[in-house]
Amino acid sequence: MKPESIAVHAGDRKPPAKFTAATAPIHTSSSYFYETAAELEEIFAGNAVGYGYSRHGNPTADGLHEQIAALEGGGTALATSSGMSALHLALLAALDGRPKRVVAANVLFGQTYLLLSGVMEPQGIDTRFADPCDQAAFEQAVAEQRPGCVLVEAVSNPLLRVTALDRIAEIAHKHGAVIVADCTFTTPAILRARDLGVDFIVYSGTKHLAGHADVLGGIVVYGGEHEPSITALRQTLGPNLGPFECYLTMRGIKTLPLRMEAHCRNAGIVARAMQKDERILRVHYPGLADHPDHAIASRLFSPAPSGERQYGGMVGFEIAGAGREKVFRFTNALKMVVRTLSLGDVHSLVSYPAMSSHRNLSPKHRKRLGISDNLLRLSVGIEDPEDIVEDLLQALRG
Amino acid sequence: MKLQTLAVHAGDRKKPGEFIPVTTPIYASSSFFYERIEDLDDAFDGKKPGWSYARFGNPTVAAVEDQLAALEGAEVCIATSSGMGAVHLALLTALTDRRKSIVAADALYGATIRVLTDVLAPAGVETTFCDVCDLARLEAVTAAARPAAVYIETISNPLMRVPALDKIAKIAHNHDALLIVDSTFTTPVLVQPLALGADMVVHSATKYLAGHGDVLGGFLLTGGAHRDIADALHRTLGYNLGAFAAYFTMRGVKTLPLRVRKQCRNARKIAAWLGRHPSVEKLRFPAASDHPDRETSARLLPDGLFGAMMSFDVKDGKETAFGVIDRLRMIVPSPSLGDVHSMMLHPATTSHRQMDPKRRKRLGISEAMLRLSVGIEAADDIIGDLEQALP
Repeated sequence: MKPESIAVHAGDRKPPAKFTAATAPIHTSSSYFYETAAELEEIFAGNAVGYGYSRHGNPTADGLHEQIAALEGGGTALATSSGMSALHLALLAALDGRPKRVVAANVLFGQTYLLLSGVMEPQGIDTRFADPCDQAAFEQAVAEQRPGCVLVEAVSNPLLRVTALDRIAEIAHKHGAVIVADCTFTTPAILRARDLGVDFIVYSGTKHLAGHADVLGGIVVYGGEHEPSITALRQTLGPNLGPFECYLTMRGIKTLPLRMEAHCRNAGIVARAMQKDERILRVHYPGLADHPDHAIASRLFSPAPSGERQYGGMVGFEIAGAGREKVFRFTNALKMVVRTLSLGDVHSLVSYPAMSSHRNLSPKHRKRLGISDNLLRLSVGIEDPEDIVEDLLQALRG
Repeated sequence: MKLQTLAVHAGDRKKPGEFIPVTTPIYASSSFFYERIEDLDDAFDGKKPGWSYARFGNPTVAAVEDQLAALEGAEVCIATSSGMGAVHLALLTALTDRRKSIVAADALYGATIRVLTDVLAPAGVETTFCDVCDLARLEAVTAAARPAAVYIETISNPLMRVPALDKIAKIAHNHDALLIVDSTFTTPVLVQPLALGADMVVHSATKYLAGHGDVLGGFLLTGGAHRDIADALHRTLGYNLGAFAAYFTMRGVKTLPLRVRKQCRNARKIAAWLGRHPSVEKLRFPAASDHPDRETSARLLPDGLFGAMMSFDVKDGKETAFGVIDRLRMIVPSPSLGDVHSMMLHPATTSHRQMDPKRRKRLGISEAMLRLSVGIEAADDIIGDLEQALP
């Protein structure tokens, strides 16, 4: 071979050796081949399991898929480019061959609301919103709307209401609908939604799953009966998560149980400390006895490996008498807690829903949902809880 | 701070110093913040340029978007998780507030056809397929369908037809339709569709742009008029390209002109050789004197460069075709294209497997067809491998 041919081929495309790597390799290859063309054809035909083109499957991604499905106790997982693309894919698959109608929770992540109203509605998909914490009203909405699917969040963003997923799943199934649940705030370390009857579990992998603020990604978990719809849609639309992000997510999940236990324990400590402070008007945390869904959370959420109760790592709090300016003053005074968006990272971070996650809702709409201008959403990290509380208190003293 | 806290915070979130890195850093960060939360608020609003949440924008991804926008002469560039993500985004953008109708070339990549027939059709979008190299026919079909957009490939996959995209842009615009062009086979090195009148360009970055067989990604490029709709859809659907893939793509694009020109020159030599080979039939390569679009190719493509993709039939059908693939020693028999290494695939069982067999037959995508993506190796080495593999 001449030098320019050697430069392109030497060292690459070695057949796999007998060793097994202790961690999943990062497969960047966009395509795969075999000893014979007939073997590749069998893979494209779906008669053999293997890899052909990376939009259809990648070994690093499959490592992550297996890891998540195992944590869920079954089903199939698919990693996608963002939590929103996972949700889009889940909704399209859930509506495949079903009525093009949705009943969705009235309090949802702002962008999810936009997906339903701004993207899916113009495609002929009608959504009706109802409060899943009022099961009778929700059932009535389902009975009237006769939807192809129901969409809820396990813990609502940003008010931290806890959905009785098992009851909502029953309602959906009774009326012939499937249920899609965004379980970003819980993760399989706290809640195994499949066991509660959820058909499509959606995660923003950006948050607790990857957990280190260095991945944008999403996950959808579904049962075998939805495999044909999901496969056709993902192969065609290509919302793939890249191999580096797959690896980082998989690496993050190895510490998920440890991290979630610390997030939850710290969140409880922070919530109680904030509740005692007279500068705080109200604290939203499902682990507090006076939270409206404390009983549901206690019933549904699994304990940590240590046996400690877990209520999630998110805490909402309202600063007494604060408007936007006072809220900004508070966040600017924080020294350690990061004032950014996102959530579920190892570090504590605070976000202002009226400005970030729910900014695309009108002020009137926010007010109606109870997302007030003095509400902050704290994602409690895994630092030492004393350091977190101290930073919040010094910023409140301002 | 206590040990458990230091483990989470130490070393991270340092402000960049006065230095400027020569290449763009890989920003894995999923979110960004500022000294004052007011600046984050402004970044959200778009009042000040800045970053907030990675689904809305990432500096590494923005760098490769700027690079591509400059190469294509586009005002707007959006990087996506795959070429198909870009195709879908372009179609959704074109369909927003327009008639739910598309006119598309009849010979297209299999997955693109699937988006039209299996994803958009159930959402009420009607697609009319038509031979876009027959301009009179296209004009009549467009007049009747009054589509939101006409969709074509600069060089069709795998038949290597070269539609007159400048004339097609006029036809589309005459009927108030946009023209979307998949320029994966040509790249901005060979053609800049926006300058020829196209409204949107899509790329599979997996192919020539990244060029090294190690990225899955795509791009949508368009003019400022479509910025708001495309951005809004992208922010909501989140078909983002990751930061690592963005860096690899940017690094690949640096050698794009060198690679593509070398690949095109290699391709001409190889096509000339294949054209004389006794077991090769129906060689499809735009430079061939008997190619139906020879004139259009010469007019639209520069400097005797006709792309680096070709397809041909081998005598005696599928078995012979598979035999050729299995005998290859250097050319990689894997299903992609545009990489630095030469690649060969069997369209009927891979890239165009999802196409209806009747349609494949009608278009001439036979079981005997092989598609060759010519790499940047020495042309003699590629010819040597083909010679020993062909019957």
